[in-house]
Amino acid sequence: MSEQPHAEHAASGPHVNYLMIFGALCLLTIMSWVADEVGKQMGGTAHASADAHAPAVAHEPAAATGGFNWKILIGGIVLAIACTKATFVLLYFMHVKFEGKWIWAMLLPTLILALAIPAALTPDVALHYYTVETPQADEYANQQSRPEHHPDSPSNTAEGADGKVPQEKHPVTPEHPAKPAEGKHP
Amino acid sequence: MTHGHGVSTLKMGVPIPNAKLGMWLFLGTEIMFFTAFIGTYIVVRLGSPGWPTDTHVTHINILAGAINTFVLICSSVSVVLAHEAVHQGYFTKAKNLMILTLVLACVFLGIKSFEYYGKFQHDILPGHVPESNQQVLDKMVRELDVATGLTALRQRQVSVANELAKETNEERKPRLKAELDVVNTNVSGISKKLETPEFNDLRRKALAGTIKLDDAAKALEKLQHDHPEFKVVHEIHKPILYGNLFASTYFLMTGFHALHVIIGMGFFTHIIMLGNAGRLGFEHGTLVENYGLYWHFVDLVWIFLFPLIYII
Repeated sequence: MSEQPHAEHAASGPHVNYLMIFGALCLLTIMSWVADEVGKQMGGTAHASADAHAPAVAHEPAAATGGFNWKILIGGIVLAIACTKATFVLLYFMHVKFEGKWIWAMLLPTLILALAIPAALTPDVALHYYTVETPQADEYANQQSRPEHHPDSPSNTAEGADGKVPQEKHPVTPEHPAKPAEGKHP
Repeated sequence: MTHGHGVSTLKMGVPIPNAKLGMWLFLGTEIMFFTAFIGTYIVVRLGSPGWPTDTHVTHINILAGAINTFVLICSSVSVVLAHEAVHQGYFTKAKNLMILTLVLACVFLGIKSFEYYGKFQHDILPGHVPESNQQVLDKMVRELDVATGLTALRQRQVSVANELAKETNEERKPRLKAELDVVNTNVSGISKKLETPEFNDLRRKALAGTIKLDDAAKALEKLQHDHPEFKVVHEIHKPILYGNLFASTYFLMTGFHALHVIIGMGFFTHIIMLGNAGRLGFEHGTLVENYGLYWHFVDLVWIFLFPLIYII
């Protein structure tokens, strides 16, 4: 095994300044973090509720920042940064820049096929033609309808909306284990 | 009609080694594998207004994710430099760079384990997250029942009693009776000790949904103070809308990514072993390149997981 550089082999690989690519990737990662911090300052991400036992719901930032949706802007920026980083890795670390066109003929069909599942799910899951009737959607609508959580608001306690204590829902004995409360919205 | 001499042989296929072509084909399937997960995650999030993004609730650690991103970038550089070193004939340097890559992969998994530990500690696990106030209370009661040990004992009580009633062999009845006595004594003993008025009151109100979460949390804290047996019951958290879907997608994507990291560590170990045996040579250039391609893809996936899970 030789430890001397081999002239023939040394000339065969592409010459890339990997440390420069490394620096660019680090810089882009820091930019993602900064974008997130700016987003937090501008109300682009959810913050902890003052009440420890209020349901954890991400409030619409648009309402809090005069109509401008920072969350979408910050999301777009960090995803654009991620795409740039991925391009650097693909072109220089994986040497796609130095390969022939065959590599695109191999990769592009997989990218198109990969979108099949998300495309098939989108109409039913993300684009609702009809009204969504799920416990989570109801709770979210309930949360959004109140400007601020109040510790005694109906959805923050197990009491009824009128403040009255409801009747017991099922017999309470040690022999009766707790059952999941499906679809219940106290 | 015949071909004349001097006509070059028709060159078929792509101008790369078969092994490298195989690796690229494999990476093509990997693109489809991870894009299905990531794409579905995006679609599910778009269709779930109120998705949990508060890091205090989801126990997502952005700093840990950012450090892991940096670690993977460093490892991508070390693996590509190792490939270059093999091409240039610096095999010891290549082996050392592979050791560095392996160490960085271990650091990545260590940080990931720390994050997973937080998720397990706070019970942010698929199917475990209460999404309404009543689910929070029901979960607490279930865990209280399990903590007493009475749930299992009472099941055993019924099982032995049924067995005794059906038993026709008189010789076996005394043994069953003795076992039933032991179970009854245990049930009675535990019941007297743990099923205090406070316990029964909290349990009854929680099942009926007639207690506020704050009050339930205080009552649970007092029970845990009086009886350490109840310390296994998770602290009462606010309900998390879509918390179970969040936990499922989080563990699915990061779990498969971590599995790829572990496989990559096996590849690096292979090269290190070749280096230690003094057998690493120019002929391993394609092998090191293929392992590097795989590792860069693992880095590529993380580049998208970091903003999607940790930031947005």
